[in-house]
Amino acid sequence: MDSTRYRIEKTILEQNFSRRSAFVDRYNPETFSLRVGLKCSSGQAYQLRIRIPPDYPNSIPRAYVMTPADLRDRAGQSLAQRSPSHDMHLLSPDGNQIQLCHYKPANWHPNVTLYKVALKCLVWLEAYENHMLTGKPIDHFLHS
Amino acid sequence: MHPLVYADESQVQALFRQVSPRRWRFKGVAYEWRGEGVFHVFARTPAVAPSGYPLGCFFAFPPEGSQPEPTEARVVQEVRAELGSAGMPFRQAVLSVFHWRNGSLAPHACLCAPDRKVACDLRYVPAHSELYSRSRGLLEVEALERKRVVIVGLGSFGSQIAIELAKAGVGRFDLLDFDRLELANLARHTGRIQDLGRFKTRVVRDAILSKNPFCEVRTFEVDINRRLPLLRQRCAGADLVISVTDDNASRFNVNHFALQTGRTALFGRAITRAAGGDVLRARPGAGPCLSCLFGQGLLQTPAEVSTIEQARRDLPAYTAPDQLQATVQVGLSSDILPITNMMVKLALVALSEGTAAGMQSVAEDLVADFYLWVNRRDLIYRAWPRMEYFYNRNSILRWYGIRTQRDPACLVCGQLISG
Repeated sequence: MDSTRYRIEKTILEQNFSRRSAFVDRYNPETFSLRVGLKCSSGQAYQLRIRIPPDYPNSIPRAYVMTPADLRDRAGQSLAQRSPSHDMHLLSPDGNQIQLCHYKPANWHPNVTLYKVALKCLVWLEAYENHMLTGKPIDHFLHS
Repeated sequence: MHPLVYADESQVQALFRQVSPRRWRFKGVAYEWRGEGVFHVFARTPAVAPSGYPLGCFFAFPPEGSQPEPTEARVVQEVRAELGSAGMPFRQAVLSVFHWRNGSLAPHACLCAPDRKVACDLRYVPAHSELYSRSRGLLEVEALERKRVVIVGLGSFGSQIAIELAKAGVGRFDLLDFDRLELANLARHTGRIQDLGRFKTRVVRDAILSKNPFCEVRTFEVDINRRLPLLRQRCAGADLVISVTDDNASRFNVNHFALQTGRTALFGRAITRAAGGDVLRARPGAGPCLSCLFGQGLLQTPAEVSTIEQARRDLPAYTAPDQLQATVQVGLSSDILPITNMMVKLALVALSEGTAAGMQSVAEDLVADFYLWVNRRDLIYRAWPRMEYFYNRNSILRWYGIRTQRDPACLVCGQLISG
């Protein structure tokens, strides 16, 4: 990410996720990421790691749930083990950190910011909490 | 009609410059099309693997005053001896003889076999200056041959565009693609069955050089998404950048570096089943960039998916294999040719800018930066009226220039142009 884009992203995140987001390893293309804390309407907090590719924003970033670690579905099965999953909108995990499907790769474009990615992840988390309440797959909430 | 022998004029001239009283016969290489009476002779193995079947070939520049007959007989004798000593039977060879008469080289050619000698017509493949002289007037040929075009993606689009630009007289190319030519590509790619397995960049390089051996072609077998500094460097050295890849990340990377280096870029693609297609000309600061249009939804019509690999890239990882396969829906080569043809015209307009060439009137017509082409009343064009005899309403097989503007909030061109 070039310095101009970095400044834009940082400004938007500071306006909307003040003190809940931070860039990590900015100068290491292998590990450069955004850590962001999100809170659902239930009050449950989650910490996400959004991995920023070297050619961001031209390539899509990957979003992982760091904590709570090893999220489970309503039946108690590890979501990481269920991944990738169409029903749960999950891509391939990184260890026990599940990867959220926030954008179809074909729909991604460089005018989408990390703030919007974080918002879409928040929508996934709300859907996840509804899955835990009802047992319906996440896809049900994201498509209804 | 006598058999035809084609010789590269500049190679003959180069050989002639090496002639001395003791050295006036040179071995070359020839290729024949059996049963067609056509031979191509070269002083050295051509840079591009030639077609036809190889056979013996000699060039002779007899000292002034000697006659062709004894020279040919002597050459035939020498060839027979040479091949015999190598344990190879002498079948036939092409002998091209050039006599220096009245200040110019008078060429003769004959096909020499052990028991016969057949006179041939020798024709020159013209020198550099004459090769594309027919385009003069319409195009500023000398200006075009100094222009460098970067083409990212050498698939069915890129291969056609590259060859058409070479035919128009563009002289310098940088070709970037990491793919190899596969069986599934043959129906739409310019590559031939004997090119299977080769890098597409090199297949296209050879096709360009077969049209114009004086082109300068550099190939880069790289994934540009992983070699961003190289992409930036190539864009900076280009007069025009053309992006015809099948994945959005590489298109956005090209958009980024073309803007950053101030180069006009062309983007073209077909939509699903090649029911239509679109072309964008991104002029830094003067029109919308790829991200402007994508953000406005103008480029979100599903692109044609021509390979399973492309489907895997475009769709989420959880997509079932049968769904992936169903996404692969390709159009015909004839469906994409109108799109590549439009891109070639836009490229020639951009490359001829500032010259007094005949592209001016085309430039006056092609004022839009974004164009739509419709091949069939299918998918999003299903409800369109039939073409029949109407010319004053939407129909298939026409270009539509779309009025577009830069997105003032575009995070890509807004920053790169102002910054």
